[in-house]
Amino acid sequence: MAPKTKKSKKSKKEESMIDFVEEEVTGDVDEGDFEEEPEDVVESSDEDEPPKKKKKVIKKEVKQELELTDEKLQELLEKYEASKSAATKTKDDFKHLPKSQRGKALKKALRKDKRARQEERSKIRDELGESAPQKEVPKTIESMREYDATMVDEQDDEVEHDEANDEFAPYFNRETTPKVMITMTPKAKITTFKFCFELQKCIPNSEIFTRKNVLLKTIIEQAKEREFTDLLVVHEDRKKPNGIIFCHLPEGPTAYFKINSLTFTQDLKKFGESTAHFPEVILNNFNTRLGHNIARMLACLFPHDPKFTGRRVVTFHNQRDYIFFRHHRYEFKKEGTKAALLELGPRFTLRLKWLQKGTFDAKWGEFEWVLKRHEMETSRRRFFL
Amino acid sequence: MDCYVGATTGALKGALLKDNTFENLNEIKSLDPKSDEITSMIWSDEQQTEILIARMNRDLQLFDIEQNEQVSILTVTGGTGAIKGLHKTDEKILTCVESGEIQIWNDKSEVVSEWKCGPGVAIMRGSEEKPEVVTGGMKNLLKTWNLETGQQVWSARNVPPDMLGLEIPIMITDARFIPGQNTILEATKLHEMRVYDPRAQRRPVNKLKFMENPIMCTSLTNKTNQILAANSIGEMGLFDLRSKVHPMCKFKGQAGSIRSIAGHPTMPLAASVGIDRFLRVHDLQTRKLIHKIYCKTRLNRVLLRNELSILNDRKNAAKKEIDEDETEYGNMTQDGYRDSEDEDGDDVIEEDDVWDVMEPVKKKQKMSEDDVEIVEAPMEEDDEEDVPEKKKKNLRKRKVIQEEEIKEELDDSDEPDDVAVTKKPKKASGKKKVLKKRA
Repeated sequence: MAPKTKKSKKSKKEESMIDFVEEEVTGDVDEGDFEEEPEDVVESSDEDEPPKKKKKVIKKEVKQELELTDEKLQELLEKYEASKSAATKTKDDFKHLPKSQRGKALKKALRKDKRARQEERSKIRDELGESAPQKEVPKTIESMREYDATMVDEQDDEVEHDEANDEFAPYFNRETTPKVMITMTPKAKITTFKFCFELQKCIPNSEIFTRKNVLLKTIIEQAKEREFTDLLVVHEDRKKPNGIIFCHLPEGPTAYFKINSLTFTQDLKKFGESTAHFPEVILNNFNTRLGHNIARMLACLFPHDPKFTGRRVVTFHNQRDYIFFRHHRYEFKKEGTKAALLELGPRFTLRLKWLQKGTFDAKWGEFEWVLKRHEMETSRRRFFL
Repeated sequence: MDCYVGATTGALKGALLKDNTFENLNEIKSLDPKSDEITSMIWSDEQQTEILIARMNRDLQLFDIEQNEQVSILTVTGGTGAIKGLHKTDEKILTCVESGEIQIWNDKSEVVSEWKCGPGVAIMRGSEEKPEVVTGGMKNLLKTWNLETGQQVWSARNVPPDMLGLEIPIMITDARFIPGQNTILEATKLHEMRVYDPRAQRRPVNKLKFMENPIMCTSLTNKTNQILAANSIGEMGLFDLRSKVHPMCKFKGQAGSIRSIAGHPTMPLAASVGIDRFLRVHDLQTRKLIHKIYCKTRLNRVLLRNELSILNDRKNAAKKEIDEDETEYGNMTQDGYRDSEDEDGDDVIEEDDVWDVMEPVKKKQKMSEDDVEIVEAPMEEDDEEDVPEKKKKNLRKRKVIQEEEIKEELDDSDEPDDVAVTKKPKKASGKKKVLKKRA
């Protein structure tokens, strides 16, 4: 059966338009027939004949179902396809309304029409049972993402070679252990400090220093001397953290993220106390070459061997170029089939603004990638990470 | 291969623009970016069959395009830092390292002569017209050197201090001779390009500002007065050296710093590479991005061949346009710099050219008049045609009306006869039905 149905589908796609037209015509005829039939029944009101007829009809139908399943199947499939295709209402149907109401009425009618067709399809699906055509995958912005040539293929020798020799290679070769310095803008306000302490809670082996009006370039030099591997600088605007500079030491690169929708631990509905165990790190959806770089950079913040007894997880989830940060403790329920999550840390969203080669030097440095808002953001379906 | 690209990992790539693909010309796995990074790349001969490559560990290699073979020639010794500039003049290779040692090597890889041009060199480039090179860099003013004697020919003076009386830092990123004009172009990190005329003065004769980020590289184009420049966030602009204010246009598409641009000598094309890992080819006339090739690694240097696979189709058409453009204003600018004898020689030819040009213009005018007549004539005809059509329509209407009258009569009398009537005109059938209902 399966191959036959497939064939029929194909043929339908090719001739769908013609079928559609034909069906419209036949539908009209059917309606006419229905109108006529009851009249006949009324006329032929003899006692014996109608039940017999009905029985015969039923038998015939059963036989037909057994014999002509293919044809019926095709018919149903055709109907299914027809209900999928365009709506029956057009704007010409609302010419009797004043102009200001037409658009609204059309929208309403179309929505109604859509629902009706959906129901029709679901009915047909029930009738078809197993041989029903597959449901279409919903079209989302992500699934319709624009083609990106830089998507990383796992078996790409050249990218592998490039990554084996980049600035993060020492960390991934286990030559260095992460040691993170967290600092902030000069004269930072209380919320920024709070955010820094939250960050310290998430990132093991990190230290907070107040900025004290020291230049960032001198801080970098001093951090290099003390063998820090990463530097985080929290920027604030209107007394709230709004950006973060993330500089990998000693050779760079430097990235600038915008911070969005920050929620502190205290403001969460339910939260737990963090522990000192090394967390596991989940990096989700970083697929392009740039995304890979950012993911490697973020991974460098955390120590190598997570302590699984602590059951702590730090998640960086990328969705439409926004990186969601979450911090949880998980717990396996009975027999390990389910897991419960308890949120521990702050919640925030990061958005990459630029990535610069080398340590922080915004004026003279070379930028590897810059988000140019009006030049690059011409499509809603284009993503860079 | 149309484009040769040197990467920071040390890979040499050949890109085929026709197919939008690239190919690695050496094995990648054995490369070590710390020693093999390509820092400089030039054509070794004018036929463009060999490329001279300088690597981070100061090895010079010769790459043969036809045989895909790479041969090590020599290793530069003395001084420190990477090779910042290469130049080739008849069997002699000129190298310049970051600490300022300029060395001339003969074909037996021996040092012929050596001199210093000061530390912090960012660029050294040779001239195609005379035996000179230009050097410049961080805190190292622009200087030109004679190759035969090793003497300094000319040196620039820093621009005057700013309005606060502070010295303006010297941060040269790129410098080159402009052929045919005897001028030198300098790009700085202060988002400014300066044009020097060594015969006139030591300070720049023209300054061109571009956006707000350091300018990383420049390139010549097919037109004598136009140059390309790009900065550290991937903005590339086309400039006219005679103007002072704005770039002629800005090219879109780059995401990161551009390290090298290569303009085509005869066609309005330019290839650019940078650390955003893309090779891009722009059309300078339409200002559009034609090709974009993802090369997987950060790219340092690009060379564009004269013979491109994409040019074969439109070569002839485009060439004519360029020739016309050059005759239009190319000579005007050249007149000022040329000797009197040359000018006379040119003038004679030009006059001939002028007469050649003049005659077709007259013809064209005549032709255009003819065209107008021709165009007008069919217009009149159209009008004439239109009129009968309208008349015809009217006639048809009249006919229909007559038929309707007939049908009415027929309806009254007999039914079978009107079937025969309906077969003749199509329009009548619809109206006929209406009439029936009325009846």
